[in-house]
Amino acid sequence: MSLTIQLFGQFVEMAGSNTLQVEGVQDTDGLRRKLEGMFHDLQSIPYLVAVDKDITTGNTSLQETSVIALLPPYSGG
Amino acid sequence: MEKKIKNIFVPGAIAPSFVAESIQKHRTKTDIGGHSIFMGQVRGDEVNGKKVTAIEYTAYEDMALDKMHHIREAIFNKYSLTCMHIHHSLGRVEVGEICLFVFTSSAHRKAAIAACEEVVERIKNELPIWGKELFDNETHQWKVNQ
Repeated sequence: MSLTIQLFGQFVEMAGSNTLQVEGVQDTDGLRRKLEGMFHDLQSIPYLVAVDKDITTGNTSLQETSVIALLPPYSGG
Repeated sequence: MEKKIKNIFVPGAIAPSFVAESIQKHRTKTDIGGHSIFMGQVRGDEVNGKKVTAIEYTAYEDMALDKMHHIREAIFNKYSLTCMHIHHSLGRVEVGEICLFVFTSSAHRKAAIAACEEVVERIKNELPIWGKELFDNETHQWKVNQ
Protein backbone atom coordinates (compact mmCIF):
# COMPACT_ATOMS: atom_id res chain seq x y z
CA MET A 1 0.00 0.00 0.00
CA SER A 2 1.36 3.39 -1.02
CA LEU A 3 0.30 6.42 0.99
CA THR A 4 0.64 10.09 0.17
CA ILE A 5 1.40 12.33 3.13
CA GLN A 6 0.79 16.07 2.91
CA LEU A 7 3.36 18.21 4.67
CA PHE A 8 3.02 21.70 6.12
CA GLY A 9 5.10 24.44 7.72
CA GLN A 10 8.61 23.44 8.76
CA PHE A 11 8.04 19.86 7.53
CA VAL A 12 8.02 21.11 3.93
CA GLU A 13 11.55 22.39 4.51
CA MET A 14 12.56 19.22 6.32
CA ALA A 15 11.49 16.98 3.42
CA GLY A 16 12.16 19.47 0.62
CA SER A 17 8.68 18.78 -0.76
CA ASN A 18 4.95 19.33 -0.06
CA THR A 19 4.23 15.60 -0.09
CA LEU A 20 5.87 12.30 0.76
CA GLN A 21 5.14 8.80 -0.55
CA VAL A 22 5.31 6.09 2.09
CA GLU A 23 5.11 2.32 1.51
CA GLY A 24 4.31 -0.58 3.79
CA VAL A 25 2.50 1.29 6.54
CA GLN A 26 -0.92 0.19 7.87
CA ASP A 27 -1.71 2.65 10.64
CA THR A 28 -0.67 5.94 12.24
CA ASP A 29 1.64 4.28 14.79
CA GLY A 30 3.50 2.60 11.92
CA LEU A 31 3.57 5.87 10.02
CA ARG A 32 5.07 7.72 12.98
CA ARG A 33 7.78 5.07 13.41
CA LYS A 34 8.63 5.16 9.72
CA LEU A 35 8.75 8.95 9.47
CA GLU A 36 10.75 9.37 12.69
CA GLY A 37 13.29 6.96 11.22
CA MET A 38 13.50 8.99 8.01
CA PHE A 39 13.57 12.39 9.73
CA HIS A 40 15.17 12.39 13.17
CA ASP A 41 13.96 15.97 13.80
CA LEU A 42 10.45 14.53 14.21
CA GLN A 43 11.49 12.77 17.41
CA SER A 44 11.75 16.12 19.20
CA ILE A 45 8.78 17.98 17.64
CA PRO A 46 5.26 17.40 19.07
CA TYR A 47 3.59 16.94 15.68
CA LEU A 48 0.06 15.79 14.88
CA VAL A 49 -1.23 13.39 12.25
CA ALA A 50 -4.52 14.35 10.58
CA VAL A 51 -6.56 11.76 8.70
CA ASP A 52 -9.40 13.08 6.53
CA LYS A 53 -8.95 16.50 8.14
CA ASP A 54 -9.36 15.22 11.70
CA ILE A 55 -6.57 15.00 14.28
CA THR A 56 -5.94 11.37 15.19
CA THR A 57 -5.75 10.34 18.83
CA GLY A 58 -4.51 6.83 19.46
CA ASN A 59 -3.62 4.44 16.67
CA THR A 60 -5.72 4.82 13.52
CA SER A 61 -5.75 2.48 10.54
CA LEU A 62 -4.92 3.98 7.16
CA GLN A 63 -6.29 3.31 3.68
CA GLU A 64 -4.87 4.23 0.31
CA THR A 65 -7.75 6.72 0.01
CA SER A 66 -7.02 8.36 3.38
CA VAL A 67 -6.10 12.04 3.24
CA ILE A 68 -3.10 12.09 5.55
CA ALA A 69 -1.31 15.20 6.77
CA LEU A 70 1.63 15.78 9.08
CA LEU A 71 1.14 18.94 11.14
CA PRO A 72 3.84 20.75 13.10
CA PRO A 73 2.75 22.80 16.18
CA TYR A 74 0.31 25.52 15.13
CA SER A 75 1.39 29.15 15.13
CA GLY A 76 -1.48 31.11 13.60
CA GLY A 77 -2.74 34.49 14.73
CA MET B 1 -29.74 22.92 5.58
CA GLU B 2 -25.98 22.66 5.19
CA LYS B 3 -24.45 25.99 6.12
CA LYS B 4 -21.94 27.42 3.71
CA ILE B 5 -18.34 27.25 4.95
CA LYS B 6 -16.95 30.78 5.11
CA ASN B 7 -13.45 31.59 3.98
CA ILE B 8 -11.45 33.39 6.66
CA PHE B 9 -8.22 33.74 4.67
CA VAL B 10 -7.05 36.91 2.99
CA PRO B 11 -3.83 37.34 1.01
CA GLY B 12 -1.31 39.54 2.82
CA ALA B 13 -2.02 42.08 5.56
CA ILE B 14 -5.47 43.18 6.72
CA ALA B 15 -5.80 46.89 5.94
CA PRO B 16 -6.99 49.27 8.70
CA SER B 17 -9.46 50.67 6.15
CA PHE B 18 -11.00 47.17 5.86
CA VAL B 19 -11.51 47.13 9.64
CA ALA B 20 -13.13 50.58 9.47
CA GLU B 21 -15.44 49.47 6.66
CA SER B 22 -16.43 46.37 8.65
CA ILE B 23 -17.46 48.59 11.56
CA GLN B 24 -19.35 50.92 9.23
CA LYS B 25 -21.35 47.98 7.78
CA HIS B 26 -22.89 47.33 11.20
CA ARG B 27 -24.56 50.72 11.38
CA THR B 28 -27.80 49.28 10.01
CA LYS B 29 -27.86 46.42 12.55
CA THR B 30 -29.63 48.38 15.27
CA ASP B 31 -30.15 45.42 17.63
CA ILE B 32 -26.40 45.51 18.36
CA GLY B 33 -25.34 47.29 21.54
CA GLY B 34 -21.69 46.27 21.75
CA HIS B 35 -18.79 45.20 19.55
CA SER B 36 -15.57 43.54 20.55
CA ILE B 37 -12.57 43.57 18.24
CA PHE B 38 -9.23 41.79 18.45
CA MET B 39 -6.43 42.51 16.03
CA GLY B 40 -3.20 40.57 15.88
CA GLN B 41 -0.19 42.59 14.73
CA VAL B 42 3.18 41.25 13.56
CA ARG B 43 5.70 42.04 16.29
CA GLY B 44 9.29 42.97 15.48
CA ASP B 45 10.93 40.58 17.95
CA GLU B 46 14.69 40.49 18.24
CA VAL B 47 16.22 37.00 18.45
CA ASN B 48 19.99 36.62 18.96
CA GLY B 49 20.67 40.00 17.38
CA LYS B 50 18.42 39.38 14.38
CA LYS B 51 15.23 41.37 13.90
CA VAL B 52 11.94 39.93 12.63
CA THR B 53 10.88 41.91 9.55
CA ALA B 54 7.79 39.94 8.50
CA ILE B 55 5.85 36.73 9.03
CA GLU B 56 4.90 34.46 6.16
CA TYR B 57 1.75 32.46 6.90
CA THR B 58 0.73 29.16 5.38
CA ALA B 59 -2.18 26.90 6.31
CA TYR B 60 -3.82 23.58 5.69
CA GLU B 61 -6.71 25.60 4.33
CA ASP B 62 -9.28 22.83 3.88
CA MET B 63 -8.89 21.60 7.42
CA ALA B 64 -8.64 25.10 8.92
CA LEU B 65 -11.92 26.17 7.31
CA ASP B 66 -13.64 22.98 8.49
CA LYS B 67 -12.40 23.54 12.04
CA MET B 68 -13.34 27.21 11.94
CA HIS B 69 -16.85 26.26 10.86
CA HIS B 70 -17.22 24.03 13.94
CA ILE B 71 -15.75 26.68 16.24
CA ARG B 72 -18.17 29.25 14.80
CA GLU B 73 -21.14 26.99 15.48
CA ALA B 74 -19.96 26.26 19.03
CA ILE B 75 -19.49 29.97 19.76
CA PHE B 76 -22.93 30.89 18.42
CA ASN B 77 -24.45 28.13 20.59
CA LYS B 78 -22.62 29.32 23.69
CA TYR B 79 -23.02 33.10 23.42
CA SER B 80 -25.89 35.33 22.43
CA LEU B 81 -24.14 36.95 19.46
CA THR B 82 -25.62 39.02 16.67
CA CYS B 83 -22.69 38.36 14.37
CA MET B 84 -19.05 37.35 14.16
CA HIS B 85 -16.45 38.02 11.47
CA ILE B 86 -12.98 36.46 11.26
CA HIS B 87 -10.12 37.25 8.88
CA HIS B 88 -6.64 35.71 8.95
CA SER B 89 -3.73 36.55 6.67
CA LEU B 90 -1.93 34.12 4.40
CA GLY B 91 1.41 34.91 2.79
CA ARG B 92 3.72 37.72 3.83
CA VAL B 93 2.73 40.29 6.46
CA GLU B 94 5.25 42.98 7.41
CA VAL B 95 6.09 43.99 10.99
CA GLY B 96 3.45 46.39 12.30
CA GLU B 97 0.76 45.14 9.96
CA ILE B 98 -2.43 43.32 10.98
CA CYS B 99 -2.56 39.55 10.46
CA LEU B 100 -5.72 38.59 12.41
CA PHE B 101 -9.03 40.42 12.78
CA VAL B 102 -11.81 39.03 14.99
CA PHE B 103 -15.01 41.05 15.29
CA THR B 104 -17.96 39.98 17.48
CA SER B 105 -21.18 41.88 18.13
CA SER B 106 -24.06 41.39 20.54
CA ALA B 107 -26.98 43.22 22.13
CA HIS B 108 -25.06 43.60 25.40
CA ARG B 109 -21.30 43.86 25.82
CA LYS B 110 -20.46 40.75 27.86
CA ALA B 111 -21.31 38.20 25.17
CA ALA B 112 -19.28 40.03 22.51
CA ILE B 113 -16.24 40.39 24.79
CA ALA B 114 -16.25 36.77 26.03
CA ALA B 115 -16.89 35.32 22.56
CA CYS B 116 -14.11 37.41 21.03
CA GLU B 117 -11.56 36.22 23.57
CA GLU B 118 -12.59 32.58 23.25
CA VAL B 119 -12.48 32.67 19.44
CA VAL B 120 -8.98 34.18 19.43
CA GLU B 121 -7.73 31.44 21.79
CA ARG B 122 -9.35 28.72 19.72
CA ILE B 123 -7.93 30.11 16.46
CA LYS B 124 -4.44 30.03 17.93
CA ASN B 125 -4.82 26.56 19.45
CA GLU B 126 -6.93 24.68 16.93
CA LEU B 127 -6.39 26.01 13.41
CA PRO B 128 -3.62 24.44 11.30
CA ILE B 129 -1.85 27.69 10.43
CA TRP B 130 1.92 28.27 10.54
CA GLY B 131 3.93 31.47 10.73
CA LYS B 132 7.49 31.68 9.48
CA GLU B 133 9.33 34.62 11.06
CA LEU B 134 11.60 36.24 8.48
CA PHE B 135 14.71 38.00 9.79
CA ASP B 136 16.60 40.99 8.44
CA ASN B 137 19.56 38.80 7.42
CA GLU B 138 17.55 36.50 5.07
CA THR B 139 17.30 33.69 7.65
CA HIS B 140 14.08 32.61 9.35
CA GLN B 141 12.60 30.61 12.21
CA TRP B 142 9.21 28.97 12.71
CA LYS B 143 6.99 30.94 15.05
CA VAL B 144 5.88 29.30 18.31
CA ASN B 145 2.59 30.43 19.88
CA GLN B 146 2.73 31.36 23.57
